[in-house]
Amino acid sequence: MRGWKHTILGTVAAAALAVTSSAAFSQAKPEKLVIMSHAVHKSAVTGEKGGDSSADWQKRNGVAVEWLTFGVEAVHERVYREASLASGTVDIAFILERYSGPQVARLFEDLGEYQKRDGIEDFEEISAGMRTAHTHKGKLIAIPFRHATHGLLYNQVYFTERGVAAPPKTMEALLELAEKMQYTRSDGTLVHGFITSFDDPSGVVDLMRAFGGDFITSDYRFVADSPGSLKVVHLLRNFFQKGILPKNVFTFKTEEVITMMQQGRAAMTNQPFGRYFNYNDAKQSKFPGEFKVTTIPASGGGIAPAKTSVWGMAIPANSKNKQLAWTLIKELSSKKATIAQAINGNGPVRISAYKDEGVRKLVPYADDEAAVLQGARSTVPGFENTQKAMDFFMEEIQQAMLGTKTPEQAMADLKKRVEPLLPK
Amino acid sequence: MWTLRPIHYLMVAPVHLLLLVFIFLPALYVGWLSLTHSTFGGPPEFVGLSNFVTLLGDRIFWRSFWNTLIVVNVVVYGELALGLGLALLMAGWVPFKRVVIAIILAPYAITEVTTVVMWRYMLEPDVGMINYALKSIGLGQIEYSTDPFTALMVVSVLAIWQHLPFTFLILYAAVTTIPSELIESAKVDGATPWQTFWHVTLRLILPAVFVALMFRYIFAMRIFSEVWLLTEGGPARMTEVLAVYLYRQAFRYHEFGGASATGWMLLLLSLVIALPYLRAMYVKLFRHV
Amino acid sequence: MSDTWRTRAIRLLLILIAVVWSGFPIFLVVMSSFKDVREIFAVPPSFVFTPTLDSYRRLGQLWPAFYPNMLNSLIITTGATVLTVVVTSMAGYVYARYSSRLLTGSAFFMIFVRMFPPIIITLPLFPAVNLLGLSDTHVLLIVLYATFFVSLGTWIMRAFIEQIPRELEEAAFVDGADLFKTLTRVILPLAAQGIVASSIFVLVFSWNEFIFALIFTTRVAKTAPLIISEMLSTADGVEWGILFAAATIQLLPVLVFVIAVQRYVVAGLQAGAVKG
Repeated sequence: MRGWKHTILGTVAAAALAVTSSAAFSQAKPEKLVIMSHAVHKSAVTGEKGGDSSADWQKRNGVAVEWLTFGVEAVHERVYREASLASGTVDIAFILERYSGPQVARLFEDLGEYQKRDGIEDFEEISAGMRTAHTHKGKLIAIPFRHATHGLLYNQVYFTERGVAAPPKTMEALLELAEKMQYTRSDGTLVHGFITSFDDPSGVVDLMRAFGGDFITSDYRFVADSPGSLKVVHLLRNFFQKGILPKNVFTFKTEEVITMMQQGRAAMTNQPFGRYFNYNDAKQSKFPGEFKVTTIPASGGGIAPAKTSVWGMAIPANSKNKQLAWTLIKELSSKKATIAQAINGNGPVRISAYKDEGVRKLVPYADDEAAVLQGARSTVPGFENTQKAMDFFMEEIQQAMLGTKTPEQAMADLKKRVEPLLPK
Repeated sequence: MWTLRPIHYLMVAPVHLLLLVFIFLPALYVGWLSLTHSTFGGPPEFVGLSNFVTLLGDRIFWRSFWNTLIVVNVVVYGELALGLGLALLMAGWVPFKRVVIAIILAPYAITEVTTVVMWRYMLEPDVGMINYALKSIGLGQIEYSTDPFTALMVVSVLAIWQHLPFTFLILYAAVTTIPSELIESAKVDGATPWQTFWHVTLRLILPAVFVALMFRYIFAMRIFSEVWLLTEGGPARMTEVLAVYLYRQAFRYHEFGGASATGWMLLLLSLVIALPYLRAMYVKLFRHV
Repeated sequence: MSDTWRTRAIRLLLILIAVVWSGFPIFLVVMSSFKDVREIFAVPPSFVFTPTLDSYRRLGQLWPAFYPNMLNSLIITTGATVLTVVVTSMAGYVYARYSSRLLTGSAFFMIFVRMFPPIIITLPLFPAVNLLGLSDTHVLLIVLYATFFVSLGTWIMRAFIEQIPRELEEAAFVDGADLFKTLTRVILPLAAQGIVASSIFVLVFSWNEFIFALIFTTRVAKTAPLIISEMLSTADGVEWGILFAAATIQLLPVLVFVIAVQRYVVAGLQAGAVKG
């Protein structure tokens, strides 16, 4: 009996397969589209809260989407390797602007061309800054998908404990507050006034920009020895030697900063707005619901041009399904999809998403983040030696903080090492 | 019966085939790569010895070189001393011997990532257990993140912790095969424990010491995870070792030519260090046949 | 040897130090995996707490790939160990029993070639492996891991087999056994401890290896250490409880194995490898 049923089922299946495969043959349609990304992109696209923004596309096209996810640094390494092969298996790659640059431009399609032929709706709404972050050698190699923009996160319980009513409105006030927030709680917890991540220059560059300085400007000038920047190097040195910045701050990556904040071992940090949810997470945090986030103030008031980093969707030049990949990118970049992704926890690249009611309900900092986004910039502009320049920057900053060099000397040495790397 | 036949060459062939295909040939290609400028998505471009010139002119390369030498020697000899001490200790009376040996071997079974995470957690300046203990008995803190020397020592301790079981195992096996009559007769002849150790024990286990030293040297030269996950070479790249330097070149800057050159320098350094041991092994192993 | 009570006390103290040194960090990881996440970093550290399986539950929910990846680790480790044992037993036998200039030269080639830092070999290997369609397969990692340990393995097997009296083989030969029979009936049974001793090294290495697995696997053949390191590189911060739970599960099988076979390992190394 079973065998008989099987035969019928088998015949039907074979027939169905024949029909679909002949249809597929005429359109050369693959069974699946392969996306290589970090896990956060997958959850932004397929999350439950906002819905799966790739579901309709999959149904319409009869093509499944397969996600291959890696860690942040690993995903780039892997994407570039795959894209360098004669024939590739990756159709869409998520890349972060600071791991990208002109040297990898030839590995990817120029999406500007695709946009001209078959455009994404209201493409201009995605800020020009984000688009230039992924434009190299005149090629738009990735469509912005997600941004992480820095705000000032603080522990409200500690502010109250030290009699601070409101977050600082100027950078000067913030620095004063950092000293004030350095204390030992009654339960013995040592609280650090201010911490930041030290695995790349983004945390330090925020402060420099607040004082009108920077590391490398968007037109590739080295300015880490300008007065505003130098002031920050002196300040970091001072904070480090006073213990306001923890002794092991040089080993702080994003993960360590998160742990420190969740554990209540630091009062303030400049990190992406989205960290708000991690810090307030009842499962992980000792102060759930007590963290607030606001904009980083500039010297003398106003909003500092904070760091933003932008993940974009690229199509490897060796993909076999470029046209199909573009239709998915187009779909994921629509206004509707951007909102759904924002509800799933994504940093939306369209300002209109911040006006959506559903998003505003979940994201209390929508207005602040939208405001910062206007002036936010990448940590450093993309060029061939970005990674090297950033490593040099961290090295010299640490020298200055340790006291093995004066800040002036460190920045002068840095200039000597970085300037030859900059594009002319 | 004991004449060498072609079948015997066939029997050693698989081992050599693996080594040839997966290490030797790629290594040759890497040798060619070291003479080129090469990155993602383009053909390598021949540049002669310029990668090596750049390397030898780079301050950080030399710092990595010296750091590697320091760490490797501290680790290898530290392990040797501890491993030998432990082997002698364990060869005598020990309660629950099998359990104790199992615990001593345990660190070898752990993934490097876990090892470093664990030690970082214990060495945390404010809340780590080790620093907490040191502080409460008034000894201050271990500041591996600000003091390069401390950092290198912590890195060495981690490496020793993880690999001591390897050295211990080999030395323990050697120590326990020494016939007890030899030790007894030395005692009868009036030798002090130190003299017995020096003239009898050490002499007999020397081949094992060579094996342990040799393989540990080769592996320790590549020390990477301990440094990368603990300090990333910081503060200010003062604790960088050659493998970390190579990793930055290959996986961060995508300078494949430069990374290949560093790879060959590592090989040369290993060879120079291993040469005396290789010679000693040659004499020991192949003279008698 | 008779110890006085003083030397015994000193011995005990030293043994205690060795046990704490080796065991405490591991104990700490295992203990932390049973703590409430917010308690893990408590100051001062707490040793008395109500254990919870929460981290283990969440591990399964948030990292569903962890258990399949453990299975991959198991397949790859077993494969690499078996392959290493087979090829090194054959080679070790020949090196133990025969000699020629070519053999001596090749023995040193084995050591020499291992001095090349493996990480850099990934550069040419990656495109080649993709061309052959071997990327993300179990076979590739099996072969690679075996390659890294055939030198040490052959070395140990050679020394071990050298200790087995030649007369046994000669007797078998007289009885009409061919080379294959001699190997499988005479040598291998006697070399069992040596095999265990040499396989423990490749086994532990394969179980824990990270870089090659990272570069050559994407999905199908991903191993457990990869997931553990991914847990350290999430955008949302490290969930320490889950990390420690995964580390505990990951170290358990190999720890049990090491404990189970340690007697044979020691015996195996005693019998041969270290006499040189």
